[in-house]
Amino acid sequence: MRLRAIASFVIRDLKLIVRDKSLVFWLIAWPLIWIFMTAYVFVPPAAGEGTVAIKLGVVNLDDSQVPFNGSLIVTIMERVKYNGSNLFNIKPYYSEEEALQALRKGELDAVIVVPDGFGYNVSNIMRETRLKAYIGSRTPQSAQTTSSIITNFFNSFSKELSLKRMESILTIMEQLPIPEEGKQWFNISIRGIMQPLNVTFEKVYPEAFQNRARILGWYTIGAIGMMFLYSGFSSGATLIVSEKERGTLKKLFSTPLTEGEFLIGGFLSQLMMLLISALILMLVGASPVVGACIAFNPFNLTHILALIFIICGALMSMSIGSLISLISKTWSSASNLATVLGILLSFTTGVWFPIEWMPQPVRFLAIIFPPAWSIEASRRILVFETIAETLVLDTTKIFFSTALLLALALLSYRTRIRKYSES
Amino acid sequence: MSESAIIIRDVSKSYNGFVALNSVSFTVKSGEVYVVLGPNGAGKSTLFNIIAGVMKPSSGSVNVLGGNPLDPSTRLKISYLPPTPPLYPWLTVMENIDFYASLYGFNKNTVRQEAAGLLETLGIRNLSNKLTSKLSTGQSKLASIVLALVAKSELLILDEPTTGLDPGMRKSIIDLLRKQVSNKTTILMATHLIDEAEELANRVAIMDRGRMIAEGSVEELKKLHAPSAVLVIKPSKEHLEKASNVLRERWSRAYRINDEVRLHTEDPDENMPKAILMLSENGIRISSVSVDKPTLEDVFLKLTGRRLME
Ligand SMILES: Nc1ncnc2c1ncn2[C@@H]1O[C@H](COP(=O)(O)OP(=O)(O)O)[C@@H](O)[C@H]1O
Ligand SMILES: [Mg+2]
Repeated sequence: MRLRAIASFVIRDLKLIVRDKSLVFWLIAWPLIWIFMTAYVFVPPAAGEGTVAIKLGVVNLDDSQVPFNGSLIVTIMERVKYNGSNLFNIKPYYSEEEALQALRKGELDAVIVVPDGFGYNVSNIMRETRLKAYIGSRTPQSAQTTSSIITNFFNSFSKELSLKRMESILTIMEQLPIPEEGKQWFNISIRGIMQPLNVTFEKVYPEAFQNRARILGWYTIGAIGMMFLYSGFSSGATLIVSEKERGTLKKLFSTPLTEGEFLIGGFLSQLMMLLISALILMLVGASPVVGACIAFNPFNLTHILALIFIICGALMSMSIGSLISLISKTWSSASNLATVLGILLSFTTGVWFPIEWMPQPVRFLAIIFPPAWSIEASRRILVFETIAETLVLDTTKIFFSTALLLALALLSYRTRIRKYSES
Repeated sequence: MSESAIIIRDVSKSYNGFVALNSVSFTVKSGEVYVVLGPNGAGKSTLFNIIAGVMKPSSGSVNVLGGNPLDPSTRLKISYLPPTPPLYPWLTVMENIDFYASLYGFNKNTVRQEAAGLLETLGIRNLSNKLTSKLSTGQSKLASIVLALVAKSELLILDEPTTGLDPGMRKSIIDLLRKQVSNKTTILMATHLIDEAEELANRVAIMDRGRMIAEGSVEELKKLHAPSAVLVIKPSKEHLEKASNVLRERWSRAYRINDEVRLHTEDPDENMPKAILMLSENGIRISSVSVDKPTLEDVFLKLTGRRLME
């Protein structure tokens, strides 16, 4: 293996980036167009934090004369803030029917009905408290978000309530004539019942719940993923057939160049192109012009892991391209097929459009498509700052599939080189 | 350096059953210019691919510079020029040269100096920093010849190096190759141009339909396979067809080529008047008649009954 021979491919192809305008278009301009479209059309700068507020219709039928009643819960909900702005945008209704009508018309995300006697029930430890919630779907993706936010809100609310009730039971216990040991045993066991699992939660919010910067971060990584898919597929698919049609393949193999050097050199140079483009896209994305949130600190090992995921994504895309080369006979058919397939897959596997937007049968693709895993994992690190410990399974899957696909690429290229140099 | 640069024994090659090379054997001595002459489809490129180590033969043995050309260390000493210029369009002429030189592991500066000299000789020094996508067909061909020569290899394998060049350019290539010969480089060259073969070759091999049908120096080939003279008869245009038919009735070796009939004969003095008489008896007008020395084209005609160039 001669390093200089390998390096000469990288040098050769770096010049291509500078000199081939159509390549620059596909590597950089096209993904940038999508990033800018997202930044200025789909998620315009004016779309601030307020837009995530959930439009909530509240029907308060409770008129209990206790401190904790329906009006209080409405006031609490009105005050819940996320990232400095209100989470719920509350509109009062006087009848359940009226509120549900608005929900059906798409004017609301959800409706909550506080039944009569709510306050009494909450205040009485012996009673069960009921609350009704209806979730609408104003936009296709909003139902899930709304439902998870409301469920979370009331879950923690309900937990708070049970802790309050426990405290009041324990206060009553203190005054009862029971031996001290019995009181202690009771104290411990009731805590155990009320709080069987004491979990501390990291703040994890649904993605749509994030602010604009994170949405743009999501799409910037998505644009890189999309570019990897079509460019990686295409460069992988044309690596050998392009040399053949240009008439350079036979000259290459008449020099002391070995197949191994050729494949490593070719792969490395294509990888360089993808990574340089990815870097440019990331820099533009993170710049104030776009304002995407992309956290990268070279001293953070988790961030380095994200970088490795990105490299794996590029390698896997190129390897899949090598498989495309097996079924297409010419340079142009290989590159057309690869580009179309790459763009389609980036749309359907959660790389460019959120997977939640896809109909259920299509989501299957994201589960079986390894490049999508690597894009998603690097996105979780760089945009959502996930900790590495949660990615152990993903890391294993990604490394394994990268190795597997590279091996398949090697095999398919070998058969291609044999075939083309023999004709 | 061994006596023989190339030893080919019973080499055959078939493409999906089609036999492109049929048990070819020959030896090229070190330092000689060996020209393979044959029409399109004769199997020259297939043979050269095998010698350059790009293709495997279906059977037979190949020894190049004492080794197997499938071995990278053997290929280090070989420079192969494919029939179409192997240039990367987004690189300049010099960058293409740099790229291939680095595959050989040659020193960049030495190669650049050498290349500059060769470009100068061919009168295209001004093209060295031009993108090869901007070159004309002829210029690309010249640039790729520089690419092949710059390596100063022990063996140069040139597949139709002058095809597509105008006579002026062709002449400068031939001159350049002559200079290489004096550097003790062995040259294996394919062509379908007779002049080129006659001018350069120490020995010529004639190929047809996958077989090597004759081999030797130009003189030997002519002595063995050519007639002593060729009667070149040029009838008027409208009588061309008829003239060749009439002559062929009497002489089996009368070949119609372009607008003339070439009549192979051992005795031109006797046959010329006979031919003229026959034609005029058949009412055929003749614009000119002359006696030529035979060329390699006539050798090929005699051996195959067909022309070298269709
Ligand atoms: N890859 C191939 N597949 C099938 N037939 C081929 C292939 N390459 C060449 N041939 C055939 O083999 C014969 C010899 O071709 P080639 O070696 O290119 O001859 P030349 O260089 O003398 O013109 C021709 O008939 C050609 O059509
Ligand atoms: Mg040929």
